[in-house]
Amino acid sequence: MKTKTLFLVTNLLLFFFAGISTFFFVMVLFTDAINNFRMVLAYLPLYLTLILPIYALIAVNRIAKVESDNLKLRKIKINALVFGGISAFALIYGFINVFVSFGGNFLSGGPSKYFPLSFLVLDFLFALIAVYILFIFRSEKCEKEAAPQKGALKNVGGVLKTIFLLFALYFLGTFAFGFYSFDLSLEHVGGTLPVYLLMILPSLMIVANEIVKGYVLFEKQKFARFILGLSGLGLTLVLGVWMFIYMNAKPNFVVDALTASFPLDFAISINLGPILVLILSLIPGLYLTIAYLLPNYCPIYKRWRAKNDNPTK
Amino acid sequence: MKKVYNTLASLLSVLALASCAGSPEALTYEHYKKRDLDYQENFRVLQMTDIHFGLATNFAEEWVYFDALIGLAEPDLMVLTGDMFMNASVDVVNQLYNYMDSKDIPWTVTFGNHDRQGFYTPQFIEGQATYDSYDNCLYVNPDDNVNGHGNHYINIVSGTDVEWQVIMLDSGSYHSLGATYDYDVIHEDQIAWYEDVIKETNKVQFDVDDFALVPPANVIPSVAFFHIPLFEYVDAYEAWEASGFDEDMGSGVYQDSGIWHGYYNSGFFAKAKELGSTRGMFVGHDHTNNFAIDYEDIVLSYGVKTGRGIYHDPEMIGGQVITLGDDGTIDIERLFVAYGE
Repeated sequence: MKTKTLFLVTNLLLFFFAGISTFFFVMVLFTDAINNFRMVLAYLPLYLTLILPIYALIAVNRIAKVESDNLKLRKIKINALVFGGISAFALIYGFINVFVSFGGNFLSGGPSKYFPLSFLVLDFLFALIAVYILFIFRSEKCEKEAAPQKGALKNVGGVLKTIFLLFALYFLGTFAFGFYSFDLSLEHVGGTLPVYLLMILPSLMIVANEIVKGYVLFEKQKFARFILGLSGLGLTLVLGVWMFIYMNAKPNFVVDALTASFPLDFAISINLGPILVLILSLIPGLYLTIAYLLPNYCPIYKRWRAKNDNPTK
Repeated sequence: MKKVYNTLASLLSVLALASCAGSPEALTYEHYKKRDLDYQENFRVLQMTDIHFGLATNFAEEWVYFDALIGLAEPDLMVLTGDMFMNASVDVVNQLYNYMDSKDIPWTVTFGNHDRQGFYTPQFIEGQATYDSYDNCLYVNPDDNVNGHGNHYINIVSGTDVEWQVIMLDSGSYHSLGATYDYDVIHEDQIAWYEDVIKETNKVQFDVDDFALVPPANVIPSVAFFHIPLFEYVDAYEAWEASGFDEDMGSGVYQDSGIWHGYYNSGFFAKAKELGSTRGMFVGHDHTNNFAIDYEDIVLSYGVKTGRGIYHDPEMIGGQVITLGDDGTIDIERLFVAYGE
């Protein structure tokens, strides 16, 4: 398998697991929060375990963007150490915690029938992965090298992108957990379908954008991303209109069929979830379209122009 | 391509056949109860409500608490009036139900507004208590078109005579108002179902063709359990307040930020008054309200919030015992049990 394809497949898997982790993390945290964080110390290993796939996803993609091989290797080693450190801590803390908080019962249940054993096994696997990465790069030396400084605007952009990514992951996880909570009566399938599709649309747009960046010739990327943006916008509008028409016809369908997907809505009695997935789905389409129309403000187009101006660079 | 069409056609045929095969038999009021319970003097019903077990529940600690409460209450029947779960998993549901069934005391459930919010299908939570291995569970969930799930009742009998009826109603969860949600209500078809149960049971017991022929003083007494309070809870509280909190009229406290009833008055209280059977209505929902007020000859009562799941007053958690007297009266006893006691 080509390195590029291997990276894409790994990224897709990481993305999926990070989505599940984000959703589960928010759900457990929300449940704990409404209980005055009574279980926060007992569930700390679980929180740390759930953070790891998200951390890995962000780290892998940041490392992939580093151009210097020396810096790349250094970042791989540092991130593997952090990843391994967190998983080892969660494993040791979790093991001791079984006796402190769960009366020595490794199958005390709750999040799953096999909790907390299931999470200890995950931590062990994560620690093994970190050790393996450190092992395969053990003999390669890397010099100390500072990462290139970013401008303030780029930092803000990075933060906004990360926030968007976390929301996209959360709803990807909501979609994945939808297989557990799907209304089997199928009474409202006409309404739940556009909502479920809107939940995964932001993630699909992120993945599609990565595919364009990885597989489309650099010179054609600008137009390809524009088409992707327009497609995303069109799809969002169609799904949004479909959802609102159904909601107008059967206003209670979210209550009947999607209660489990939008728990925060029912905690505050506001029909926020469907609006949020719609707004979230609009963002990538809008971003890609506007970036095409106003290329001076988009970093990738600046790079594209710079490359065109100076092809040897 | 032909193969694909044939496969699709076969699938559709199987689905069509499956939908025909599943058509339910005609339901009578008898289908809405699992089995009768034997009446004994001062029959004790323990109402537990708003437990709110979720993903972050420590069962080892909870079972110690529940053992203490049940030991104190010594109930003949245990009733869970909704919001047992919030953000729960299949395992959390099974753990509570397994625990309840392990006590060898008859028990049943009705749902609140949060029970369906979990990592399971709506069908799982609506059907799981009917699981065959729960020998002591009296919940039934007939496949009907009546609003709510698991509207059912329990007859408490002496020989062939029904002494008391326990009516369990699903007061739903939410009602969409567009941008916001309000709470659901007991719907008109559920009220018709309730009327049918009361009338049919009395007609059989007194061997008459018309419920009107049963002398009002002889109508079989009943109690109703559901989750969301009725509009009349507000009226009752206002009447109690106007009486200067007359101790003969009511007891308990109103400490929540409101009486969070459903989105409209569907007329359940009026029907109960008209039939003259129901002596008391018992709800949950508002965790820091636990008053009981005798309002127009029906006691409108909150339960005592059970356990420390989500918001609560640590001094006001436990359960409520409703004693069903042989003279058709009810007596209410609040049991406050703190963790670590």
